[in-house]
Amino acid sequence: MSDAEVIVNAFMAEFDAEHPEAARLASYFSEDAIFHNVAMEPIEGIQAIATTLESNSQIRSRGRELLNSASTGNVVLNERVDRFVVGGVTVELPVVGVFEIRDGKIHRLREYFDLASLQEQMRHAGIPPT
Amino acid sequence: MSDAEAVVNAFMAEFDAEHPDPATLASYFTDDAIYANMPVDMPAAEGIEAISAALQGISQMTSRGWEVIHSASVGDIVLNERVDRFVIGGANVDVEVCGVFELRDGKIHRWRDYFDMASFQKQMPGG
Repeated sequence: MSDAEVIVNAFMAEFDAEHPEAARLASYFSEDAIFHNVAMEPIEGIQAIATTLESNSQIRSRGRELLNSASTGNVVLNERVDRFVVGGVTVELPVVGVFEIRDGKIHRLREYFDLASLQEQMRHAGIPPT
Repeated sequence: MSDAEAVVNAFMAEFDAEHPDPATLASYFTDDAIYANMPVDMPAAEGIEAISAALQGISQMTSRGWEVIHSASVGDIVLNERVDRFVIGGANVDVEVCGVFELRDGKIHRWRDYFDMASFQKQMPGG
């Protein structure tokens, strides 16, 4: 396992906690990082990323299961199932993440998933679309 | 580059042709392969017959090339980040996608593509 993969896997393991500490999650990112859920607008800079992580950590996590992971140089790609609890219902999101690591921090994160897959499960849970 | 990555990259390069030959595309797969687009409500193509039919459909679109942004492998598993470019109904459609490929005996045995369906559809004519 590459150094880059060790960092990414440690970040993933933070979500074993039901409510990972937002400041701790933010510490994995570089100051000028960009976090892009590809289905949505990119989130640029550590302040904006910290705000997003803060709201993410309020959702109850049931862990991020790593299916496959591979790296080349400072780039890590992983295939996962991210699980969390919304409105009492467990939502499962199939995701591929692409992480570019610089100086031991996440510099770019792009997450590939189908937004409708998430929205449909939220709808079943009785959560109105945002 | 691993042997598995070489196979996947050769498959990607087939889409440099505007209309890749579907039989050539199908030859990359095992008889019992499964090809799944991960977005909701998209059933997987299971077995070489169903996959051939799906590839036939893809090859009827005009390809503008499948650009590999990043690619990495571990054993027989390849993950890649790509932009798949098409012309559909006169419109340029660029799909941002990640693919996961499981190879067996030099053939693609499992293929899962992760992308956002709405981002794809809104680029289509009238989308």
